[in-house]
Amino acid sequence: MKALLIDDSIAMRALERAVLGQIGFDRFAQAESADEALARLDSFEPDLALIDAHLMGADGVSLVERLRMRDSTTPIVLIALEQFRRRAGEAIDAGASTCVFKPFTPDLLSQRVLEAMEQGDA
Amino acid sequence: MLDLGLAERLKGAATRTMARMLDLHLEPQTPMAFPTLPSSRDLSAEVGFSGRIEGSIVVRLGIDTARRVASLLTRRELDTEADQICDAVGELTAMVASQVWADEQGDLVVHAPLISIGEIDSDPSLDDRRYVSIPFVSHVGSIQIDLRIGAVEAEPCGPAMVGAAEGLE
Repeated sequence: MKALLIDDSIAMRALERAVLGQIGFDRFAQAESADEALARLDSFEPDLALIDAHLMGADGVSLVERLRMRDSTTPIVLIALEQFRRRAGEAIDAGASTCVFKPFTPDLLSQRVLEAMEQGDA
Repeated sequence: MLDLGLAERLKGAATRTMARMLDLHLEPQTPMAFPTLPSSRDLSAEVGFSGRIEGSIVVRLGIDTARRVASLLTRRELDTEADQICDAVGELTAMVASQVWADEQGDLVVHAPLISIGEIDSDPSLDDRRYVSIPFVSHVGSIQIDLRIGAVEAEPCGPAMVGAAEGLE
């Protein structure tokens, strides 16, 4: 399975890659910006997109909207700091499958990703 | 005077963040009402926050401890990858900052981390900010975390910040 990791933190991308690798993902593409993410989306055709809600210079919700306009089916998991919680509904309305708030345990991230994948299959 | 309520918030935020993200147990030591100055071998990550409350969180640790913390976060052994080490400590600092104010209902913006190595050029005793500083020990080394408060709006004030503001007087 293929995952697109959209995060401007190299350390967080490494963590996400390690966690997703444990649940069957074996191909990864990475993006540090919204524009790079949109460019990678078409060529990589991921089974999952993991998005940092606090990308430098971009709003996480608007990026979800832009991704959804290009791809209506790929599960999108938004990773956010606690202060984003009150915007979680807005993110879901924009097309995110779920939100995971930092700090999280690897088990929680795995669980939310698997749930999002199941929703996508339904 | 040390604000014990604020110290508890900081302890909770730090221990929760490191336990969840790194599976690392932090043992808090005695909190202080003033910051300690870094040595030339320390890495410092500062994350500011603004809104109804303004201030910053500073996480300070030795270079070797920073490398071990970053290795735990990325799930791989890091050696000389300075960018990844700084990035990892900055990310964790942002999480601690967000957790300190996790129950704050107003608009609060957590800013991007600033990383520095070595001594800082400002004398904290000269500014008007208030501090809670807590040393933590762990099996990867010691970590110092400072919470600096610069301003708290008087109104409106939720229950959590009533306690914090009273203790700072």
